[in-house]
Amino acid sequence: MIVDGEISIGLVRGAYGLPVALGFALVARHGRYLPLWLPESGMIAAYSAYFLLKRFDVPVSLALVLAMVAGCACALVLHYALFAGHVARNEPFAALLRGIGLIILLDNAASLLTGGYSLAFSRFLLPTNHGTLMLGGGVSLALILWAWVNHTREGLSYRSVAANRQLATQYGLKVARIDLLVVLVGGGLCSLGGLANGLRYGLTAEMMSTSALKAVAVVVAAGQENLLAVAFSMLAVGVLESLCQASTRFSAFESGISYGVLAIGLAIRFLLSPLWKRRSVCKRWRTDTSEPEVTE
Amino acid sequence: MNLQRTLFRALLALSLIAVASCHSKENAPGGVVIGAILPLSGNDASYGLTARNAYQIAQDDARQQGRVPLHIVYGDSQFDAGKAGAEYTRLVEQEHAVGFVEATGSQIALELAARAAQDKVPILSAVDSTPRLTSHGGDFFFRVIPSDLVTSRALCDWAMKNGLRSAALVVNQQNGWAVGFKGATLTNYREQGGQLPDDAILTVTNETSDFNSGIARLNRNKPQVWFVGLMGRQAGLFVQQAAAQGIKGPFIAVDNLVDPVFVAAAGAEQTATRFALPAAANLSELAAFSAKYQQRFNRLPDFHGFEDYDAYFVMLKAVELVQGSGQPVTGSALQQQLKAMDTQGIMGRIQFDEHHDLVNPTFGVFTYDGKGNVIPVR
Repeated sequence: MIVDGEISIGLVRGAYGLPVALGFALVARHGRYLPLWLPESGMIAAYSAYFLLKRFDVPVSLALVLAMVAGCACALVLHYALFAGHVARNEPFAALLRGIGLIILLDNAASLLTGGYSLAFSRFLLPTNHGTLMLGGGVSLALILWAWVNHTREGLSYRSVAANRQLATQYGLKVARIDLLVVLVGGGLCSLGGLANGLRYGLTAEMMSTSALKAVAVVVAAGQENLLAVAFSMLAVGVLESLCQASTRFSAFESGISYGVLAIGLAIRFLLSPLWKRRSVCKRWRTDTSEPEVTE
Repeated sequence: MNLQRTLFRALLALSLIAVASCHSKENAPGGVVIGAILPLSGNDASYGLTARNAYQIAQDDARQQGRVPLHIVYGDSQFDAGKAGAEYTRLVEQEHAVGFVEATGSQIALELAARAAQDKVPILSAVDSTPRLTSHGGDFFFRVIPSDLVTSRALCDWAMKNGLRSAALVVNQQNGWAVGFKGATLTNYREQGGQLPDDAILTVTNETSDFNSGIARLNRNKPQVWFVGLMGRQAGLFVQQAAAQGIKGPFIAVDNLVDPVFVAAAGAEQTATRFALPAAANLSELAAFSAKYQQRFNRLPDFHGFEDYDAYFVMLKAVELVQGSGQPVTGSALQQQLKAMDTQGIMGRIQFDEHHDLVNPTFGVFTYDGKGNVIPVR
């Protein structure tokens, strides 16, 4: 039985994954690789906020802003130190492997920092209407990003660089500026996602792994070029997970929804869609080359 | 480019240090080599770190008593059965461990118990409480913690005495301990006339951190009590999210709620919990251990710290008895001494029955005072 309450719970659940998915899609399209490491900037932001609040007694709003800055700064440093070269040379697999190594390193560092213990913010930091805020904010972010990418001059430059970096350079586009902007926005979105998730679910060294998996699933399934589809897919994953958990028989399959979305997305994009296109091309070719009927 | 390489190498070196730190040894020259397979990294590291801290205090106490401390060699399982198996092999074959003072995780213990029986290496645990270890632990598995079947009976007794006759249960199906707890709870609660139908059970996985829709479903039946078959952070998040939906509990469980990670995640809702624990016998020693732990590690120990401390001294006593008899310290000799063990730990008398479970453990029901301190329920 589908219940309104469970759908709204699912929408909120999906909304908590929206910033990370949007940031991930933006950077993935720009760099033409899966930036699995990027959500880790959310973990850095969340841990920074925790230590600023607990150890240094910094006021809440200032701590959150400083944490966002820390997350963005780390994303920038890591991108330029480890991934910019791969992006420039169009080496997606090398970048992916380096990203996996970096995740292991950062997770171990976070674990050492806290002696292996997970941490939690005071629940009073989370406003009572956090679900509405996240949902409204996440959908607004998706619309703003979509408009920026598809209906601005900057967005046109972004799409040009993403489509063909060398050609964009030859045409005189400011590629370095676009690089900086994209990583800054992507890192900022992931930092926001990390802070939101940390406030709601607490901090662990592997806190961003589920968000990263969901981001990969929806970006692969919906296509990194379509930000609105990515946002819609993330909300749909949240609703599906919620409905699954609410059912008596299938509650344990909730964690498999992301994998299911990933598998279906891959099948549609790389198997069914090419087959369909090929069939259409063949049909058209047969129609074009068929001999005209001879009539008496 | 050079800067990139240098940075990458520095990061690589850091990761190697992190990995190396998981394989550290306690330096106790002359001591008998005893293994400890613990989650020293990952989400459940608090269990392993508590145990390691407790052993360090036990080492110091043993030295102060003029005894030769055990030479503990550690293996980091990350709470994964595959990694635990590899660490077991390393500790037995390369480090020549003749016994284990811990193999954390009921599923891990079930898998290692069969190998331990084959290799004749006894495993003593302070954490593994699944009822299956009673029947499947084999000849070389011992534990200083009561089986969940016994603990959950005490818990169900308490619930029924307090008129809590309808219940809901949440369980992590990927956790061996939680599956055992579910079985024990269903058996005991239903036998005593409690209402816990199959549709009042929420099954989740290791990845679940949002329980809201499951809680909403379970709450439609208005259960009077909530059994929590989750560990640490997950248990804390469950209790917190249920409280946010206006549920006042009580949330009841066993030693899984006695964890600083649970306390941090549950926040103020920790006071809505009730849990059954073995009643401590030696309160002065308990307080002394807590004070040492607090002084050395700047935090209070959780319940498992006491049991880990007891497990260390039980194993040390077994080693000393073997040495005293003039025999070489082998796994088989240690097993014989453990079978005949009768000693007093800080958590009570330690004596094993024919299944190597504790004989006649006694229990109390406890809760939190809101500041993370465990207090008995009146």
